[in-house]
Amino acid sequence: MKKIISALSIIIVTTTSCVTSLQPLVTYKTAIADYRIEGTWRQDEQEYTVQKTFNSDFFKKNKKDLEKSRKEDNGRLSEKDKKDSALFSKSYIIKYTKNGIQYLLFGSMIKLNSGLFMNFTPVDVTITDSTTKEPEINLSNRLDSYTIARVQFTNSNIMKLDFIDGGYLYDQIKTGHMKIKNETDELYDTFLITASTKELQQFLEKYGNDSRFFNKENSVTLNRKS
Amino acid sequence: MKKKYWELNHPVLRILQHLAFWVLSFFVFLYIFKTGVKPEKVDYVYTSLFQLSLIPAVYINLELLLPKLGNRKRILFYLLSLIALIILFAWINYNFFDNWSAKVFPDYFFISYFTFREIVLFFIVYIIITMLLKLSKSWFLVSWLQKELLEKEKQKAEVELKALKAQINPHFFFNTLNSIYSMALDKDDRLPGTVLQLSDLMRYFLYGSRDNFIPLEKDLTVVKEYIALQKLRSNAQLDIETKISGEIRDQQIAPLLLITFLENAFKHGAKGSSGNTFIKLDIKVEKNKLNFTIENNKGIIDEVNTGDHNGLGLENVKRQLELLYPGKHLLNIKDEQDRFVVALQLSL
Repeated sequence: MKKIISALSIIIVTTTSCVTSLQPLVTYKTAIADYRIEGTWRQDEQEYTVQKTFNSDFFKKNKKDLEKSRKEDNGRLSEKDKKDSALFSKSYIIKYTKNGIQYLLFGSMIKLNSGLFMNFTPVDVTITDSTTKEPEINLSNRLDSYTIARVQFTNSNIMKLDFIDGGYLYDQIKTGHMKIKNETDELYDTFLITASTKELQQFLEKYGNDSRFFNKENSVTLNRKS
Repeated sequence: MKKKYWELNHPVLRILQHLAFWVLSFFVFLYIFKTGVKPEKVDYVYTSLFQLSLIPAVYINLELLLPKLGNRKRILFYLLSLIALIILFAWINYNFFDNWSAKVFPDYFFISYFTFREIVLFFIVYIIITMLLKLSKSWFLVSWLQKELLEKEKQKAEVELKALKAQINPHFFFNTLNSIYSMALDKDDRLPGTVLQLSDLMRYFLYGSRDNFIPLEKDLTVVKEYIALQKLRSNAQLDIETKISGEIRDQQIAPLLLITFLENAFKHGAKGSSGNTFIKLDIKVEKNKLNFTIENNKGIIDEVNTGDHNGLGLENVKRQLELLYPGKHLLNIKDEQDRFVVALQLSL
């Protein structure tokens, strides 16, 4: 558990004290596509590229492997492939490079009563600069986990991501004010939300506009570069 | 008895029973709903609120719908009302946790962790459990009341029986004393012996007939003594035919039954007749069954001393048979123009 959380804490570098969930907020049934998110975005000197999954370099690179596995299965799509395809068709790959490491995140969006939300999960980490001192991270054996943010477009060129304040959430759980399934690690004082997708959606439908769950420290404002 | 009923239905006891049920239910829910290893404050709040939505639905059903509509004629209305009740409160429960709780309890964060269908199931289960509890309690009370009723009926029968016996004895003695009075007027020599026999019979009536049942053998001895007593005061024209057969030992019978019929035969037959008179008595015991038949010819002049006591003996004995031999006796009385026949069959 700690390994996963530590790996994510390295990958989700833009914010501190984010909430990590074991279950995704978005599924292939509830995912929506929003063209406004596509493009290159900038925060200070950091650039982020958002591409539709099927159009992304990552997908193109791995397409041969996918087709090969399908051929082995007589070209038929398995149930999982069908669900993945449905989700990929409405989801995005977010790419950015930091300290000589390229991070790829898989993001999908959902529209709830209280607004637009996105969940992120890391898909690939590649060292691009051989001189980097960062350790290599192998994601192949990891368990998927998700970070959730509220997405707000001020206009077509400004996008704000409000990550859920993990510190506040953790305090509420610890003081017995919040009822949501979780696993806590007393030793490292960390926690992981283990609630189901449906419960996550219900929670955000109800509390997605509650300002107590979002603060400036956990917000990222991105400006469109192209 | 009243005390016990009071104890079973005392409002404080009822409240305590209901309280115990809901407290137990609360802790069962708490351990179902808790998210961590042990229940947190929010689990207590959530469980309390969840249960609060169940309570009105349960009591509306138990106190309003079930008593007013829970019968065969209104069963359809009852079921429809119950469905509406469950849906309404399940909807309230679902919406409270999913929407309204944020306004009522802004410092607590929870949602409806169950689907609407699951909440409906919770309500159905609780409605059924509480109805079964109420029915089992009602069944217990009804069974207790039935027992009470039977006990009271038994007591009532015993009192009535004692009263009947108390009526039979004087009745018999009035008749016998009337006979003795007649003998005294006639200056009959048999009078002293008659008085002695009467004294023996009185002893039997006073001390021997206190029990509901006595040995048949003893009762038949009294019957014989009674006949002897009547023979003493009767005229020579009286023809008494007595036949007793079968296994009379180890059998029990209610006292004073047979003698009442005998007394009746003497009163209306032998005493009142001016011509040849007869009394035929046949007692037969076969396989725990007693067949008693007494036949007498009817007198032209009936009993001298009539009034309120006339026919009282037979009525009393009929009532005694109903109380002591319910469904176990067959009494047939033939009141013909010139003869009177009583046939009694008893399961001993």
